[in-house]
Amino acid sequence: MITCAEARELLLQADRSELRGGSGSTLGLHLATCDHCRARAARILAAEQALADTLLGARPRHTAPEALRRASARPARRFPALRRAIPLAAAALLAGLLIVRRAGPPLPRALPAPAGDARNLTVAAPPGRSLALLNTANPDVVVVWFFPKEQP
Amino acid sequence: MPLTQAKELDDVVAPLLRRAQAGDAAARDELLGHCHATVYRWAVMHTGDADDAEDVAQEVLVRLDRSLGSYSGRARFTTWLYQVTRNASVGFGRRIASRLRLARGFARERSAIAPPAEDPVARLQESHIGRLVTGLFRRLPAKQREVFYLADIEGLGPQETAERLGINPVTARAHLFRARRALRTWILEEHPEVAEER
Repeated sequence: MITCAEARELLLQADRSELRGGSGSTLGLHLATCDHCRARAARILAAEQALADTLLGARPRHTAPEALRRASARPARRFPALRRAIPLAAAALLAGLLIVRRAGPPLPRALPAPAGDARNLTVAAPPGRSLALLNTANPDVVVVWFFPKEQP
Repeated sequence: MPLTQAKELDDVVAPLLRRAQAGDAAARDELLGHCHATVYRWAVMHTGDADDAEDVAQEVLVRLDRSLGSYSGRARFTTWLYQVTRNASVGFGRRIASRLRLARGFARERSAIAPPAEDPVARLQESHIGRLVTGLFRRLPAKQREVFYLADIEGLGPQETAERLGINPVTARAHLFRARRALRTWILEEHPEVAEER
């Protein structure tokens, strides 16, 4: 035998056939002898039946042919893929612009041939600019840096 | 045990499907008619709104009408149709979420899906309880709501419920237990009038 508290726990998850008390389960045996728990089970059954009646009783207002006619009378959504793509393309463009702005001036298109050592290089700075030659850890890479001349 | 003895849609549509695919217009119309009511009920379950369900059902009918010829029969028809309805409901929900959800009243939603009944007094009582419990049902998380609907309202077995939702049967069972526990707790604790009114 189980207590009413234990029976309540079982009531909350039991199949509907058990709630009707028809089975020989522990819950079914308890329901056969306990009016209080039987009333609880009856409330659950009544509520779930009402839910089923409501959900299964729902009927569309229109017949299938009418529904099809109404659907075909609606203006068709044109180019749905394009509609989805436009915001994505705009976001990508904006992100690209932000990245380019943060990255500074573009790199020169053709890099000079590796010089081996900055001390052997002869590089002329353009008017109004100074330059600095910087060796790197890689002997094949030398950085040529043009920067504005300081005003006196 | 199922609450209803509703005939399995698969059994009804199987012969119609073959005839419709062979070009029988009458079979096609009959098949769409059978599917329409079922799709509408599923859409009500998903959207919780009669008007939205009408729109979803229309959309599904159009898709069904167009793709009937290409349906290969690899998946069970109802499983396929359920997925189409579910996707249409989700897509519809996304489209209208921002502009309609706030505008529509709770009461109108509930009253719109109340079933017709013969006796006016019984109809009032039943629609009241039906609305009340439907409101509780709508509070369940989507997955629990779907599993509860398929298993305890439509009466599908665990295997078929899981197949229709594309999940493991053990997972489906877990969702079902959680849904029952939540719904029944609300019924017992929040609405003692349910038993008295029936």
